Amino acid sequence: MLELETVSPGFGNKTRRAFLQAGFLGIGSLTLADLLTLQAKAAVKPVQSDTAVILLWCGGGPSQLETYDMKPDAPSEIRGPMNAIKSNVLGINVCELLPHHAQVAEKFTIIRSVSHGHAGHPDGTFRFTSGFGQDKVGGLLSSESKHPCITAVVNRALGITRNGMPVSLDLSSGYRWYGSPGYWGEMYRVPVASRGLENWRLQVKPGQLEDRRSLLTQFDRLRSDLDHSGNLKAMGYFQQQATEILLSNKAHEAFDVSKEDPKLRERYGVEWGEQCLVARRLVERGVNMVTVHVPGRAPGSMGKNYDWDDHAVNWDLIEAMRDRLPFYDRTVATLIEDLHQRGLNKKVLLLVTGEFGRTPRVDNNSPGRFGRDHYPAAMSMLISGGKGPLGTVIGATNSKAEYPVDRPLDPDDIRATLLHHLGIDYTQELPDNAGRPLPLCYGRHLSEWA
Amino acid sequence: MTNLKDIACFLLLLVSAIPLNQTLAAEVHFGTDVVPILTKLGCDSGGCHGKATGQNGFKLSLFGFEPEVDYDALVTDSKGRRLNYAAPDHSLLLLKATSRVPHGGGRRLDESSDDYQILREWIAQGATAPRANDPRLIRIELSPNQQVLKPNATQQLRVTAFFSDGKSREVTRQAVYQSNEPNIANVEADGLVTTTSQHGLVSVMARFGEQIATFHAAVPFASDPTKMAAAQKQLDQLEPKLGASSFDRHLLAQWRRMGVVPSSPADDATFLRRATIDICGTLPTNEEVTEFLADTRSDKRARLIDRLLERPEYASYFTLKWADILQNRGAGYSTSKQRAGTTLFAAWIRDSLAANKPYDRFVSEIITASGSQNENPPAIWYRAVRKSPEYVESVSQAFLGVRVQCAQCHHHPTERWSQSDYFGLAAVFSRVGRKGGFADAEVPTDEIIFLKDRGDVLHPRTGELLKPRPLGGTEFSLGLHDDPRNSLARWMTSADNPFFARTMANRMWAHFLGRGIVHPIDDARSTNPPSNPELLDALAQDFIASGFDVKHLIRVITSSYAYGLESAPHPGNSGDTQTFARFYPRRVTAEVLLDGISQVLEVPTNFPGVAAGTRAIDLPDENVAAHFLDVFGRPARMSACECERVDSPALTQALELVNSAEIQRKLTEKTGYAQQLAASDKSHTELANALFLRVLARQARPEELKAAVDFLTSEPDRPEACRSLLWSLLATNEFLFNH
Repeated sequence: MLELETVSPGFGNKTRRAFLQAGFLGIGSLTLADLLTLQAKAAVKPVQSDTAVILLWCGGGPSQLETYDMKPDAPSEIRGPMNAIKSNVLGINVCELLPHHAQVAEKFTIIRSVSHGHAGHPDGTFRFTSGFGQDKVGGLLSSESKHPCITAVVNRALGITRNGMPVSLDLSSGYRWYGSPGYWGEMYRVPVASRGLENWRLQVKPGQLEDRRSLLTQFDRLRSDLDHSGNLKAMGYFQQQATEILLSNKAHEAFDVSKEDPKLRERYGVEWGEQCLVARRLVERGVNMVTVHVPGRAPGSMGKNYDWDDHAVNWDLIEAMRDRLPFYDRTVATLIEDLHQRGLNKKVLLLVTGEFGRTPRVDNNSPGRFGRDHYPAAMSMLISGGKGPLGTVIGATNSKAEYPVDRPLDPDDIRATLLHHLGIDYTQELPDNAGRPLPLCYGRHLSEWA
Repeated sequence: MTNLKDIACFLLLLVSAIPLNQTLAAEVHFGTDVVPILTKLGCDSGGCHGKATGQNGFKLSLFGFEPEVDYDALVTDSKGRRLNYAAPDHSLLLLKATSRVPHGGGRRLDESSDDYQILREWIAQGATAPRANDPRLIRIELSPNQQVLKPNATQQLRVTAFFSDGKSREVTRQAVYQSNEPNIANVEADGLVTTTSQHGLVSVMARFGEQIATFHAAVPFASDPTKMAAAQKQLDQLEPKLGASSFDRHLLAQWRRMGVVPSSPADDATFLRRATIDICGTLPTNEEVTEFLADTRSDKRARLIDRLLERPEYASYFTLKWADILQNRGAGYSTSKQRAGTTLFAAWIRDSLAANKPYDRFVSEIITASGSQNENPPAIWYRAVRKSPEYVESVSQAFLGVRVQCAQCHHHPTERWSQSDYFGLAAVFSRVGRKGGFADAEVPTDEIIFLKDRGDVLHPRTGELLKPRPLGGTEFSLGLHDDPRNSLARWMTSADNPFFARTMANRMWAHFLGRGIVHPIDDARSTNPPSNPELLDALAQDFIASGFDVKHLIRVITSSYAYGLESAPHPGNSGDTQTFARFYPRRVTAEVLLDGISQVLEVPTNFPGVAAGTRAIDLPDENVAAHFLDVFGRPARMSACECERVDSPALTQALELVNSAEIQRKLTEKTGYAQQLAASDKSHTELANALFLRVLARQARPEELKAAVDFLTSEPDRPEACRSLLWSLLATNEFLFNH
C-alpha cells in the first residue's frame, strides 16, 4: 500500500548506497487495489485491458471512390479514371493502386456505410473522434474539440500509464484537430511522441534521480489519508510512474527498430511507414492505443498533397493518389500481414480512416484538374482484427457512392467498436461541465465484434 | 439486508397491485401512464432514443418532457408501423422492448410485468392521444422526505403523484431515482435506499414526469447511542473554545447532529502558510515564518489576515480567480491591440478588488456595462460572452450559482427550470447591441455595447413572445427606453434575492475551506441541497448586512473555527468530506505552484510577450504560453465554471516536476538559490534548517534534519546535494498541497 509515512528509513548505516536503498524501497509498491482505486477516481469503471487499437488517421478525408468503394458502373463524372481490381476474396474489389491490399483481403474488412453531417475538417474530425461537431464559443469556432476525443476516453478509462509504458500514444503531432481532451482537461491529452519520447528522457543522471526519489520518500511525511478525494495518493502514484518511465528503457526500446528484420523494415517503409512498425512494437509491449497520422503524400514526394484533402484547387486527386497510394498500399498491407503473422490480430484492432469521404461528383472548378470535395454523407474505412470478421464488406452505398443503402452506420458506432474491443463500457455516463450526463460514446458497437 | 429488501418489494407489490387493476379498467392516459414507463425503462434517456438524433430512426423527447412529440413518434411516424391495434402484443414497440425482435437496447420489459400490461392496454384502447382535458400532474410527494440512517441500512421510499382532477396514486415504481452521493447511499430502481459503510449527508431525488422531490438522509459518524453520547461529551468540552459567532455555532450544531468530532487546531506555521496561499497566492518568506512564530499576541491570526488583505498579491490572486469566472480570454486574438483588452479588464478587476468595491456594485457594473470597451473596461465581459446561451449560462453560473443549460432544449431534469425560465433570462440580454470594433481575428475587440430598440425572444417550442424576467421571478415592467439589464442587476443585488449573496458566500467558503456548502459551487438545486443550510444563510445574511463587503466576508470565513483546523483526521471524523470537521487539503493551483517554485529557487519564469519578472498570478490572460501552467490545470476560460480549473493530479504533472527542463534550469541557474546555498559557508545543519524553512515554511523535525545532514555528508558534490535536497522538498505533497 502507498503509506509513505509508515516507511521507517533507518539511517544507521552511513554508506551512501545503503542510505539510498533504504529510502528507495518505500516506493514502487502500489498494489493493484490502489491502482484500481486511482482509476476509479476518474469516475470511470476501472478496466485492465490487454487488447489494443492501432488507428491510422488519414486527415483531410480520403476519397471512397479511389480506395475502398469503387463504382465501375457509375457514370464517368462519378467513377473517375481509376479502375477497380479484384482481390483474393470474391466480391471485394479495391482501387487498382492497391494491389497489395488485393492480396491480403482475407485479412481485413471494409466498411462502406458510415455517414455523418459534419463537412469541415475540424468539424468532421471532432464529430468522428468525439461524437460532437465544432462549437462556437464566445464567437470563436473552437480550434479544439470541446468534447473529449477517443484518445482521452481511452486514457481516462485505462489510466495514462502502466508499468512504465504509456497507455495511449500519438506518434506525430500530425493532424492538429485530432486528440483533444475537451473539457476533461490537459491531464487526459494523449502524449505525442513525434521524435521518439524525447520529453520522456531523463534530464539528470539515473543515479541522481534515484537520490532525489529516496530523499523524497524520507521527507514526504504528509499522511496520504488526509484527503479523501484521493489526490494526495494519486500525486504520489504519478510521481512513482514518472520515475519508472524515466528509469525504464521499455518505452524507448519500442522506438528502436534497428533490431527488426531489414526486409520487414523495408516493406513498412520510412516516415509514417516506420511509425506503423513502431506502433506494432508498442502494442506488443502493452500500449493500448496508438495513433499514426497518414500524410497525403508518399515519403520523399514534393507534391502539394500534404493531406488527403483532394480538392481540385489543391492538387489533382488522381495525381495525388498515384503519389501516395503505392506507398500507402504496401505499408497498410504489411502492417496487416505482420499483425497476423505474429498472432496479434485478435489482440489488436486496426482501423484506417479519415474524418469524411469525398463528393461522388467530380469537382470541375479548376480546369484540367480532377478533384473531389468534402463529403460526410458516405465514407469508407478499413478495419481488421479483434473478434470481428475478416475478408468481408460491411454495408453498402448506392450506385454512385452517395449514401448508405445497407447497414447505415454512424462514426459513433465505429468509436464504440474500438472502445468495446478495449473492454471499456462506453455506455457509462460522466457529467460535462454543465452537469449534463453524457455517455463515453453514443452509438453501439458493431454486432460482429460481439 | 436482502430479506428486508425482498419484504419491502413484496409489500410494495401488494400495495400497488390494487390501484393498478383499477387503472387498467379505466382509460390509459398517454401523458401520465405511458410516458413514465418509457422514461423508467430508459427508452427516452440521453444515451438512447432520447438524444437529439434518436436511435436507429426512433426518436423520443428527452425524459418524456414533450409527450405530444412522443405520441407522434409512436403512433404516426414510420407509417404507424410501431403499433398494431388488432394484435397489440405484436406491436413493434412491445416486440422490441421485450427483445422478441432484435433490439440494440436489449430486453427492457417482461411480458408478465404491469408495465407491459399498461402499454398493451393503451394500444388495445386505440392508443388514445393526449388531450387538453386529460388530468395533469400537479406535484409528487416523497415519503419519508428525511431520515437519520445507520450505515449499511435500507430505507424504502414511496412516491405519490397528485393530479389536476384531484386524484392521486402511488408511482413508486414509475418514478426515477438518483443519489447525489453514491458513496454514502445508493438507490435502486424501486426506490429502495441502501446506505454504505460511509458517514455523511446524502440526498436522493425522485422524478416523475416534470415533477421532482428530494429525500434527505443523514448517516451520523457516531453510529450508536453510546458513541453519540461520547461525541457529544467531547463537543461539550470543545464548545468554549469556539468563537461566539453564529457561524461557529452552526458548525457545532452540525457536528452535534452528525456526532462528528473535529480535528485539533492547526499549528501556527501551518496556518500562516495556508492563509498566505489562500489570500495572496504566495508562499510566506523565511522572515514571515520566523516573525509569526515568535509573535505571542492572542489575536495574531486575525492581524495576519488583515495584513494579507492589504497586500497587492491579494488583488492579484483574486483577479486571477475572477478573470477565470468572467472569461477574460486571450486565445484567438493575435495582436497587441487585443492583448490590451484583456490587460484592461484584468486591471479593472484588480483595482476593484484592491479598493474592496462592494460586490453588488462590482457585478452590476459588469452586467449593465455599455459604451466603448476601451473606455469602460467591465464592458469587455461582453467580448467573450456574446450570445444568448452564453449570457444566460454565464450569469446563472457565475452570479446565481445555478446551472440552467439543460433548460435551453428541455425542462431541467433535476430542477424546476423550464424553457420559459431560460429564454426569459435570455430576453434580458436580447437588446444588447454591438457596433464598431476592430477585428483581425474572429472576435472583434473594442466594440461599443449599446441598447438596441428591440430584440424579440420566442419560446422555441410554443413560439410565444417571452418578456425579460429573472430566474423564478415575474416579468420586469419596462418602459421603452429601459435597459432590462438594469432591472436584472437590481433584482440580483436586492437583499431578498435568494441566489446572489448565497452564491458569493458559498464561492468564497469553497475557496478557503476546499469545498462549498453547496457542492459543486455553481449547482444549487433543491435536489442538491447545502450541507449546512443555516451556516450558508448566516454567511449570506452577514454578507448582505456588511454591504457586500468582500474583505469582511473573507475575515469571517478565515476566522471560523473550521478554517483553523488541522487537516489530519482522527477516528472521530475520519471520512468526513462535508461537515468541515477538518481542513480539506487541495493541490496548490498551477500559477501559485509555479510562482512558489520560482520564489524558493530565486529564479523567475520567463513568460513570452510580457515584462520580465512577471509572476504567473499577474499574467494578463490565459493565452501566455506556459506548458507548466497547462499541465497543472490552468483553465481555457471557455465557461464561467470554476470546475474548468482542474486540480487533479496527472502523469504529465509528475513528469514536469520530476524531469522538466524548466525546473532543472531553475535548480542549476548560477544566480539561483541552490548555487547560493552551495557557495555559502553554512554547516550541514544550518543548510538543512534553511532549506526546510524556505520550502515548507516550517522548522525541520529532528529525523528530517538527520536525513538531510546524512545526505549532505554522503554526497561529496555540494551543489548537487543542494539541488537534490531542494528538488525532493519541492516534490513533496507537503509542498504541492495546501493542507
